[in-house]
Amino acid sequence: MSESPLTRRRFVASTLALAGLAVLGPAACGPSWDRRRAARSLAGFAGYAEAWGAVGQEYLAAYPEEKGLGSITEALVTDLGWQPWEPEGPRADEPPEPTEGPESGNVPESGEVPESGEVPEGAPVSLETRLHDRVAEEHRTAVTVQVESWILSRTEARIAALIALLGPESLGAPAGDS
Amino acid sequence: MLLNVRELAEGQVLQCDLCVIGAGAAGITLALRLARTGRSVVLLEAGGDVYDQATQKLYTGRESGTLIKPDSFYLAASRTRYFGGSTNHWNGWCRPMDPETFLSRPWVHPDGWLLKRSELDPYYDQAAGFAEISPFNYKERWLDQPNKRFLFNPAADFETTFFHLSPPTRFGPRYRGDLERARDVRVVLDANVTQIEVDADARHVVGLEVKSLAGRSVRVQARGYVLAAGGIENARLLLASNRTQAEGLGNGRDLVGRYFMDHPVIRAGFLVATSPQRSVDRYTAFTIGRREHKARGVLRPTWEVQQRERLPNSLVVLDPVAPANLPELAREISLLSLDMTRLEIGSEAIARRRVEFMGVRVVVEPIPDPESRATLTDELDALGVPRLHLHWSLSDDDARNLRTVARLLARELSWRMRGRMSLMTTDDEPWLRAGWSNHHAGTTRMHADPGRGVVDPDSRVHGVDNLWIAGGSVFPVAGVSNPTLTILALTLRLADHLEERLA
Ligand SMILES: Cc1cc2nc3c(=O)[nH]c(=O)nc-3n(C[C@H](O)[C@H](O)[C@H](O)COP(=O)(O)OP(=O)(O)OC[C@H]3O[C@@H](n4cnc5c(N)ncnc54)[C@H](O)[C@@H]3O)c2cc1C
Repeated sequence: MSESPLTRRRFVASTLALAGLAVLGPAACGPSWDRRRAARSLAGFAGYAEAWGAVGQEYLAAYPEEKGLGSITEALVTDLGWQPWEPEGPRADEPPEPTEGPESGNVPESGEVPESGEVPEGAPVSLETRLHDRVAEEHRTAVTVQVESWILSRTEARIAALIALLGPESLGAPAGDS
Repeated sequence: MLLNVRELAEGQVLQCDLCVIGAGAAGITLALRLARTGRSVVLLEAGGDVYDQATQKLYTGRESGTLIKPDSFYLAASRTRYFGGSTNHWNGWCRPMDPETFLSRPWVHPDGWLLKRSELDPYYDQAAGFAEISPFNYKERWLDQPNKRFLFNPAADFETTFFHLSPPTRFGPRYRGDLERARDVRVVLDANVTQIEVDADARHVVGLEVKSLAGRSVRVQARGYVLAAGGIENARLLLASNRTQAEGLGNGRDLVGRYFMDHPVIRAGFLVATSPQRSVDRYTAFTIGRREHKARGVLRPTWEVQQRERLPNSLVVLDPVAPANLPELAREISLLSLDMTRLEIGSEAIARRRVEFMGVRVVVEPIPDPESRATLTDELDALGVPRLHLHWSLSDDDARNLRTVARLLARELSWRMRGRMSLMTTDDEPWLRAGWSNHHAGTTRMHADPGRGVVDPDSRVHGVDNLWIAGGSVFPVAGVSNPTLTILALTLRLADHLEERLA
């Protein structure tokens, strides 16, 4: 069975994978940056921060080597190929062109977003898109951890840990209902 | 006509064209199918109309293996010895074998089936009628909406496939009237076959020794005989019919009783599906068509994935789960997953929260193993027939296959952002939360070469010119589908063959 045609997310995932090879340790070699602020940005997309925080607590307990906010943030920044000192691309739910969201009851299979959402080559990639693509790729290639019995990608587990360390309440009101 | 052995005179000999041993799914179907052909049929059933403990005890024996232990009562509890056989308590899940089951898959067993799936297709349609399910023509409208209610689209590593659910048909009560009315069929209850008698060189069956627990003995003489006593008992009767051939009838190559198989099943964990609409409805029973038939979706790794991963066939069954039974962090993970799904598809589309929890059961096709086998013990049952020792071992490969399927599902669900999975399987205790399925197969396997099989492609016992076998015991590999629909299809195919042979 063949994969579905190249979609925006898959396109980004593949370029990211390549970029990930080329860009080694942006955290280590970039200009100075504020780790706490970056951590808050990384945690910012979580609608259900409290739930993430609870998962993060368990993760930190199970993987004590993942200690400090700073080191987890650095690891994430490196894995995501994100340069926190650079301006962000558009948010995942704010495509560059106005698009119609998938109609309710007719949502495309994962990874397939409307063609109009294509990101031109070289355009800045939003942190959320990076995050999504990295998490998907980690699941696909088994870069995973087990928290209690649940399989999480290493990146999503680390985001959960960040939220636990920052304190979910400090991240503001949840985006969705809870 | 329906009779009881006690209505026959001691030593009476019943004559007929065809004698069928065992009135379970296979035996009843065969008798009904041949009833309209002018052949006289005697259908012998060990039990009576209802469950009886003394008769059921004839099934007990010794047992050992990976999942079955001496106190598992597998031999006694995984089948039923009275009119209707094990359909008296089957669940009615029906599904044809997948086409790849019929191919040679070296990582499962070099022997595929000798038949092609297409040869069985017309018989599957007839079999559906006997099991009272709608035919598997896959034309139903509910299948035309691949993205609507299923977990994955067709490009994924897992595909959604369906069981049709029989009411479940209890073959005894359901077909009793038809059998009573069939002029050429005599059903004899409480009629336990204790010996298949053969001529001096064991090439021709000359008669059957039949006994009741009340002490009556009769004989049956026929032109042809079909052993349809169930996937384990078929082997037992061949092994116990050893007056002429010491190693047992049809057992010159020491194959009878070997390659016993059942489907190991494991409670692998739980999944949470997060999507903008319900995506797991089709994995619990739902109604199809106008005649109120029922179906239920399951997942299975595609044939491409099986080849890539060198996996046998497998199925993932999703079960509704009560909140109290969910594992730690279930709610939190569901919300985390919802956030990730929101990233995947944009926040608007998932404004209405969809979180569905399901238990995950994985069933895997076992790797045929000649050391998994039924042998006779020295202990005799109440009718003087040696009891069995059934040994069913599962290998590290079987355990690995179960875990691999669970892991692949977790991967597929997660990377496509359809949800997350909790995995309860462990490498240290691979068979924790595992069980069996009551699907007995393999003990009289089919192969054209008498050195590799007990029956030939027509289901005739190699070397015996008038003895055939119906039932799961002829399966050379077990596939992953529940067996009864295939047992019925093979039985109906055998009926065509017998109709010609007995012309
Ligand atoms: C709890 C349970 C649930 C199941 N659920 C499913 C399911 O959902 N789907 C599915 O496909 N399968 C299921 N099965 C398996 C299904 O019941 C069998 O595949 C099917 O009944 C086999 O048919 P058979 O005719 O070969 O054997 P049986 O139905 O077992 O019939 C054999 C008959 O032979 C008789 N007999 C035995 N020895 C002798 C003798 N010496 N002389 C005369 N008669 C004899 C027995 O009394 C019996 O009536 C289930 C089984 C169990 C136990």
